[in-house]
Amino acid sequence: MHWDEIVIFAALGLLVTVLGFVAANWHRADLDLIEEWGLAGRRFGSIVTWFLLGGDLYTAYTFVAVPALVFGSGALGLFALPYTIIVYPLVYVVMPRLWQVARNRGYVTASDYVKDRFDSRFLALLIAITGIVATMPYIALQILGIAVVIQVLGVPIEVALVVAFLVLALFTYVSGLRAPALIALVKDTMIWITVIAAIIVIPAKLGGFPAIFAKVPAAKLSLPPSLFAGYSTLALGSALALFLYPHAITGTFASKSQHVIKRNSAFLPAYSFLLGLIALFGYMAIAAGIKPLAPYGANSAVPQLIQFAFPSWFAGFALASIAIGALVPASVMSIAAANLFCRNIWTEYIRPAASPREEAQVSKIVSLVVKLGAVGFILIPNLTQYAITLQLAGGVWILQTLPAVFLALYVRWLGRWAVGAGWLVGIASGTYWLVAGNFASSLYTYPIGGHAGTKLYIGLVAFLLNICVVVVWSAVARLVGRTQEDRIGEADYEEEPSLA
Amino acid sequence: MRARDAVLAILVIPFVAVLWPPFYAGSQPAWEGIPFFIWYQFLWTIITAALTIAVYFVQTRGERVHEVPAERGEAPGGRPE
Repeated sequence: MHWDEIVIFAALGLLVTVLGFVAANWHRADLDLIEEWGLAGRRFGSIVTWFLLGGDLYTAYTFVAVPALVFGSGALGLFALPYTIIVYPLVYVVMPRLWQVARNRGYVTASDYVKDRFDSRFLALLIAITGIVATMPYIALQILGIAVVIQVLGVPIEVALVVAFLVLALFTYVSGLRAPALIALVKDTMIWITVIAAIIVIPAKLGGFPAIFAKVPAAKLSLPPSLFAGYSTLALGSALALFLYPHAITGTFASKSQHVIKRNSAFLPAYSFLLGLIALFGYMAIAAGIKPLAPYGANSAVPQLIQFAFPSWFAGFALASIAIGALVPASVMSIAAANLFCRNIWTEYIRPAASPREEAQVSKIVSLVVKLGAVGFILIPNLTQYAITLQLAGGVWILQTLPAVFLALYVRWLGRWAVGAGWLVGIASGTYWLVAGNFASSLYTYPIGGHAGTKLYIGLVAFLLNICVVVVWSAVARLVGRTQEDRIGEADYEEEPSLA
Repeated sequence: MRARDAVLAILVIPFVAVLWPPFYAGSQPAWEGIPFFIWYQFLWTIITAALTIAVYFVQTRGERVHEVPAERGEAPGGRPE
């Protein structure tokens, strides 16, 4: 037990709990409407969006798992840098257009767009299910992030997780997206303080960067040529997939203008730099001689490094920043999954006559259920590994929704059958290669480029098959005169069509 | 419209710079003991942000001139803020 650490940790936990409930009164509006509860009325400006998306995309699990990968496997873990570098040019181009059509036509989820765009509620259902399935294990991993941190504090994990779950579930239920947005302001500030302190203190303690890198085995510092293709396909595939995740779309839809999104594409890379620094903690943990701790293995490297490097009061602050950091994405993810269920399954297939109030109520309850499942996954020891595996697979699967959501914004002649078939081919081939590799890695050795084969990111290869099917099928349909044009007028993709 | 979108081509540069590891997989030249492979990628987070800011300014400068008369009923060519 580390009492001073625990006291600081608990006090900060209490602070964010209060904030989470107070958030209900922020930009006061009727929280019984799904646009208010689930998208905070689409009124967040550039600064709030920066904190919200930063806190939402750079999750607690990322902050634990990326340095753990560097700690265990070396340079491959740094793919997080190219990944989060190239994602923002993509966001700059694509997301303002998606935001605008969602704003003009009142979409809450990406599937709302797909349904309207392709005149197909079935295709919308496929996209919604893909989103929910990809998100659920991701929430579980946020809870795992909390568990890893709590472990080094020496308090009973089960009790602490149940408390964290109750806090998270209740403030999300009451305040909706306003809660994680307000908490993100505090949490991100704490993360920045922690990382800046760590990047000064730890190298000083270990004798400077040259000394740190001298202690790391050379094999872990550089990327072998056999991993070049794996490294860049992993970065590209992950970047293409990131803003297809429901929590990223929810965070983006909550902003108030296209300009907010464009400005954030320029300023969110600050978090990529931060993530890069956190990745280096993996090397520092090696240099500090840290040993992985059962049952979380390499994932315990960073929490242990924090305890090694800081006086206990600051270690409490730093560990709290990771644990509180888990609450923001977990909350946004549960809201996003709940919105998908509510809009694209419940009111679409089960209760088409649902009133707006019932809609919001269903979303709130589903957000609870989703989190309960996530905590269950982490509390049952053998299931934790499944959460990690499923999250890996979730990345492969969510990427297969790209043609339906992003490509559809630009190519008016994509047909619903073509996109559905592409989705099926992408999901099936991706899952096949995941199974063939025993779900051990997101890279698979493909029999191309010499007899040793080439390691490539499964998600990206499956996506290439997917997009070939979509384009060829749509083009053939067009040639035989069976084109299904986009039903949404071009004006709705551009700013303020009501003024034109 | 088209001319303003042409500036988006600048955003292709980071893809070329970081998606081809043979460019930067080596450890030399090291900087303050940090291998080239690592500091090169950090440098690109900054360059990418700078390029995006540049693209944003080029795009919105044109936009404001168009927006002013529509919104405030003033003469075109209003003061860019």
